[in-house]
Amino acid sequence: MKNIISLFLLCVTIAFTSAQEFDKQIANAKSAYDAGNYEDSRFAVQNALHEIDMKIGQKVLAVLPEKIDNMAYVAASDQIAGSETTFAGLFIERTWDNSGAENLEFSVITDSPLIGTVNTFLALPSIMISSDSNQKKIKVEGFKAMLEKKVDENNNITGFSLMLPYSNALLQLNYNGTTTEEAFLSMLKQIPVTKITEIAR
Amino acid sequence: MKKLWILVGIILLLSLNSYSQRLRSIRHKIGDAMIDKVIDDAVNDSDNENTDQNNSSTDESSDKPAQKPGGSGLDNSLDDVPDALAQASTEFNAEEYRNARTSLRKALRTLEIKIGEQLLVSLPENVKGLPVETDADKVASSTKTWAGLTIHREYKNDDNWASISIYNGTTSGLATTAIRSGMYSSYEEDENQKQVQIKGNDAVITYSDSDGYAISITLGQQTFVAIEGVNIASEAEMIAIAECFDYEKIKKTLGDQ
Repeated sequence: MKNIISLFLLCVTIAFTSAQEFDKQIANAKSAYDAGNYEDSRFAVQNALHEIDMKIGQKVLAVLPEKIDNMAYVAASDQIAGSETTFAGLFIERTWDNSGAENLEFSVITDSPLIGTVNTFLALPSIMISSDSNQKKIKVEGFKAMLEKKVDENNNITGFSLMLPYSNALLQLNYNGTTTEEAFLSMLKQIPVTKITEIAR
Repeated sequence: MKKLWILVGIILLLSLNSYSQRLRSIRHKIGDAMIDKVIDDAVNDSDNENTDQNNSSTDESSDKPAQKPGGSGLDNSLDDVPDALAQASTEFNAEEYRNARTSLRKALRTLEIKIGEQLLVSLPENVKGLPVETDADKVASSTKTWAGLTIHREYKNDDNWASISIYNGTTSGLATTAIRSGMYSSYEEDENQKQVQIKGNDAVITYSDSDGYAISITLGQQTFVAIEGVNIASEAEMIAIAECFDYEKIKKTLGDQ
């Protein structure tokens, strides 16, 4: 109980600090603009954007599970990067791992350059993509997605990947290990896809 | 040229070994995709040209009337910065983060266009006998292009032509790192490419019979300048053109160090 209260207080403190920092950057941007110093104003706006990106990233990470099947999330691997460091858009990543035997990587990239490519694939008639038996279109919570089975030179499964474009973003899952397609799709069901698409657009 | 530059930047980016662990991870995920995107865009451009040609022949046989010139076009007016900031603040406090992001990007666009316009005013109106072509002046915000804030100006006299393109942003920073570390140069000895200094700034000059001269200059932490010259008589003349620009002022206007 004591730990829960401590965690709650920590979250409140972080949220308050973040809001304070955002307000400070907005105030800096306005005063620099009023003084005709557009570059300083731009710098403050970029910092404010970073604060927003961090908030969106934290909200996405908060709705992700801590465990998926036998894999526990690796806290140190949680990443949130804003548009000022990725030259694409917001980037959010989490990894689950089972003592190195298997792992699952989740990421969301907004303004991703891959969206067009994946959307083109998803728009193609099935007959045009049937030549690659390792790729297929599936639906996840109503969203069309591209599922790919990864195999080695002996045709043994080495993993699965999923790319799901939505709005201006791309949600990706990358599983490394030996499993079946059904088991991978079962992992996928533990990710609240719709909720994530509502938060990170 | 911009797409080519972006492609070069991406290739350099992918080969940068000294970057931080975090960016390395991100680079893995989107690096290949960026190359695909640039190539796709280039292909789409040529496809669109073909489509336009096809459409013009189709339109001749349909009842669709031709568009008369003089339409009001799109509203590209700049958003008011204080209004956008106030809007963003309200949205952030209401936890409408997506809307707050959109409002801030509007403010950012206005600010960057103003910075670009300030920079254009400060650029020379004539470089070594080539007068400015003000109609070709362009400013693009980082909210619209991956290359970051982009400012472009051209100079022309008969067949002699020069241009300056200034890029400021994250990708520009990566390109400057590549040039300073020598990674911009090819691994083979190339007689049409060499490293030079322009007013004390590291640069690479290249020449080709088809495109003429190009000088890539690194400025500060996140600024990259590309100067091109067509039908310029010599390397010395091209460097003289490049030396017409005040790079300290460019850096200062962009807030770079």
